[in-house]
Amino acid sequence: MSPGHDQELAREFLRRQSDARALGAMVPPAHGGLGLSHAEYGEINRVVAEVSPSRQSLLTVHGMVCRALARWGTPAQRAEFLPELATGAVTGAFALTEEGAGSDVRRVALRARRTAGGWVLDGRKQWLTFGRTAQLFLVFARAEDAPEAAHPAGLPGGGGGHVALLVRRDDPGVYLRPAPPTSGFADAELAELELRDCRVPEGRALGRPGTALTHVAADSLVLGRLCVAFGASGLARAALSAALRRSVQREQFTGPLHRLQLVRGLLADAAVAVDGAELLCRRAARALDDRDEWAMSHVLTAKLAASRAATTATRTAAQLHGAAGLVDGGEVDRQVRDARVLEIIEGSTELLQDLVAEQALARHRADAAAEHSPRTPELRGGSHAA
Amino acid sequence: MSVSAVPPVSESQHAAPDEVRAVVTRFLSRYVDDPQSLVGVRLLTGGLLDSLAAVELIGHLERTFGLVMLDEDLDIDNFDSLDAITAFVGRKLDR
Repeated sequence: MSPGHDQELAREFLRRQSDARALGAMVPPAHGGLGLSHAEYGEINRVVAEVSPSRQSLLTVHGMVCRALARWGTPAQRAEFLPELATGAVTGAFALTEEGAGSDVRRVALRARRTAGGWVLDGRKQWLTFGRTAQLFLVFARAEDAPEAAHPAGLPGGGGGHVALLVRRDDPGVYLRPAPPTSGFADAELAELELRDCRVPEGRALGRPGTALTHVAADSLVLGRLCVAFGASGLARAALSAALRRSVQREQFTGPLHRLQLVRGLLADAAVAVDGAELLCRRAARALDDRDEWAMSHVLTAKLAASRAATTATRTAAQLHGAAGLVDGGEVDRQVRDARVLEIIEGSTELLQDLVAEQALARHRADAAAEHSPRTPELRGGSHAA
Repeated sequence: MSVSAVPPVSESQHAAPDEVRAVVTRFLSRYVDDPQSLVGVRLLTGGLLDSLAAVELIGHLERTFGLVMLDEDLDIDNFDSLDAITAFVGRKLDR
């Protein structure tokens, strides 16, 4: 792809959301998509979020649905769904969160019952980003006939008994309503999804029951977190620009704000956070493209750092705007509100801290093990290092 | 880019079950304090490993053994114990 093409795709997406080529970025060319790298898709997300984190979130969830299908769909599923997702004729929504299932996805309780002709779904999903306009939902449910389904929610366990099902908006028993208005992500078309005796035909499950949370959701969330990280770095950069503009234009005491030492401290901290976020995002994207064994660790680190950078930079922008930054719906007010969202979606800051710590420990154990057995085992012939 | 601990093994090369098991054990040991805790338990449905480890294991098997994971392979029974993973990798390499 030529340099600047990702910028062009981002601008096109901002102009014409419904059929923008960026919606096909995560779909393989064989199914009509662009098959972009993570690095390229990340840049599109970053540029879009500089203007609108709400609209960038469509790229996150739509990309996650495309990825789940491309990775785990059967040939028939890929042929049926990916071409329409690639053109944007159909947009996808990720239906995981429920009233009782947030950070702890094992509590997902929406019921899926096996029937002769497919599945029957009953239950509710919340906070579906761009759910109001989506035509295809990747719904995570608890399969009633799976043995693990009898376990009470919340007990230790993997994704036992859960199933990921593709539900079309026009399937019988699908009801959508707008979510309560939120302070951030005002333009993200948030919705609640209710499925009542919703019947979906055979061939709509991704993977087998039991792998929905451990593999389908977890793998999609890797891309989701990368997108949120890039989006956060875009928002952070935009907020830093707003802060710098204000510090130059606004004069108090003997000159512009930027001459005040405490203001310079705020600007410096924001600039360091934004630069760090951008570098970590690009490292994570490259690691995914290179299939680096620590790619997931880099993605988690980027999400944690970039969402915090957005908070730091937007708070600085708001603080330098004084009372003007408090105007309801003004530029910096919206940036502050959107930054709050980015510390919650695709894993809250606290959940991300837990996961990043786990990855740091894994790295430590792997390094220690490598030190104790410096010789790389050969997998040829019949012997191996224990 | 970090380098995988084990050089990739092409599908044409033979990997004995003991070797596969050793590679998998070494990889999963990074997620637990005591590698012995991996033996004879249900790794995923038993709650010892989380979903991130599950996804990373797939990537590790693909990189290390040159496997291509297909939609039909996505069965929890293939990944829920050391024995199951070893047998699954063996079946994939034999195909």
